[in-house]
Amino acid sequence: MVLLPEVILEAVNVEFAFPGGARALKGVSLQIFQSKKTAIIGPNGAGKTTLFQHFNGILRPDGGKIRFAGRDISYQHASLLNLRKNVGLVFQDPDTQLFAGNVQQEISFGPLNLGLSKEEVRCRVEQVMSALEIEELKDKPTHYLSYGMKKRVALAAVLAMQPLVLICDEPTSWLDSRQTRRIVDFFQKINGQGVTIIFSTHDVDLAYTWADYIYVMKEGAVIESGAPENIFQNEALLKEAELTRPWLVDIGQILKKMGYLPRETSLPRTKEELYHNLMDGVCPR
Amino acid sequence: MLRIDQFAYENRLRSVHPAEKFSYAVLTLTICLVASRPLISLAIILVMGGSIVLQAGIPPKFYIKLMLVPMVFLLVGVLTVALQVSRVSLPLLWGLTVWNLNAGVTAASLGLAANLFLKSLGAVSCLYFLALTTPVLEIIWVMKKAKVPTLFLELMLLVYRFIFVLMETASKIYISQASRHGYASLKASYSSIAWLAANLFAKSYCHARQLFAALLARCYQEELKVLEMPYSLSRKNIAMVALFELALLVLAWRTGVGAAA
Repeated sequence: MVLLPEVILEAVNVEFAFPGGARALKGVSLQIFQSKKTAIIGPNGAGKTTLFQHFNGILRPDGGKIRFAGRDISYQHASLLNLRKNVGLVFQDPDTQLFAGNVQQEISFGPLNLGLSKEEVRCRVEQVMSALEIEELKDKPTHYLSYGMKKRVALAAVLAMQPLVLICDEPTSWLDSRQTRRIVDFFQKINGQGVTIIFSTHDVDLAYTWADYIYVMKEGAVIESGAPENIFQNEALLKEAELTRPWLVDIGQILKKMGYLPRETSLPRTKEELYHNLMDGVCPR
Repeated sequence: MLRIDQFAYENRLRSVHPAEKFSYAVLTLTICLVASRPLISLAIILVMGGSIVLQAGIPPKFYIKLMLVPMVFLLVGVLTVALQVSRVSLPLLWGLTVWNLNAGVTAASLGLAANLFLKSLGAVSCLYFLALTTPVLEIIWVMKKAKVPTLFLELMLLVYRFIFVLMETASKIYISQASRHGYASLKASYSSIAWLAANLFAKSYCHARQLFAALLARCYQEELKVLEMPYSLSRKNIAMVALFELALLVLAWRTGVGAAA
């Protein structure tokens, strides 16, 4: 058995400026842990998307380096293909990603580029369509889909390549609560199968409840990192990064102060945990 | 434009092998252009109309509207053919003479104009048949099988995809302008439309770059490979297409002989 390193993806002092001269990344260093869910949060223009495009070699840093599975990534054709096979990137706007005529052709694009046989590709396409519940869209042209559906097809198209690391740029933006729930449940499932997940979001409740680890970015730099309960109780940080507090943190703190929750326990991470703790606190067993 | 595309995906001939529909349209088109006889053109207009309305189930009203689209261009074009101007006297059916200039229509020019008119409509009906029954992707697939260069076909695909992206972007910009009184007066309209055009260009450029990045992210290697759809040929359809084309050829030949005699 091969022991994989714990840190699967790493940015070391990454510097990047766009051709126009705007410095998008100013020495970003961060580590992504294998099989964990990492959220990257921060205001618009923090450099999240730019960083993501470095992780699978679309952009090349001006300074610093990106490491994958313990090795510096090389920008040679073959190694880039290998990197992109393992690190899947789902763009925020599905319309920039979808090009093919119908849904199953769109999904087949990635796997075919991996050089798999047609049977294997067909099998993967079916698999991923059923996992994301989009089988009935199979022959639909992509431009007649709703936004939520496009978003799921774009995700399916990347998942069909079976990446080790899945990077999603704001996977729940503009989705209604049901669609958001669906995507999150799905992520939970594939994360359970060992897929490392990196996502950016403006939804602090989602980041708080769901991420194992959080990086906060602002103006092209990582300003803080840590477990969700630490990040969201750091008032100075929240102010600096223009973040609001998740409602669970708010209510957890109030309930602790009022004595409904035991002071020494950590804050509840989910709604269910809150109810459970509350029951225990109010009527201790 | 959009409606045509929608019909291409939802018509009663959707499941017919695209190569059959393609060859039906293209062979008929070729005969229409080469034969160049009013009778043949008329037959093609009628048969294609029947295929589109009765077989494919396109609403007749919509189809008639579509046929009216090229009418404006056609009438203008045909008028200039029908109208003859000359210094020498012509066997005019109708016309007038100003100084020593004769202008009007002759029997020959009228015949030529009518032939041109019918031939164009016939050709257009063939193309409408293809456009209304076969999605662009399947047309591209047929062309790929016919060994048309891949580069050309991929461009076709991307152009097709981007038409929708462009229209959507344009309509979003338009709505946002209109909701701020961007089209309240003529002057405002001019400036709004100019901004729309300029923005659309910038946005499309941006979009194209992002699409390229997204393709690279999925290991794009100079060819847009996607799964091919399974289609099955029907002997009955092939026989019917062959029979029809043969009948047209015979008709063309017979009327040709008749005209020569």
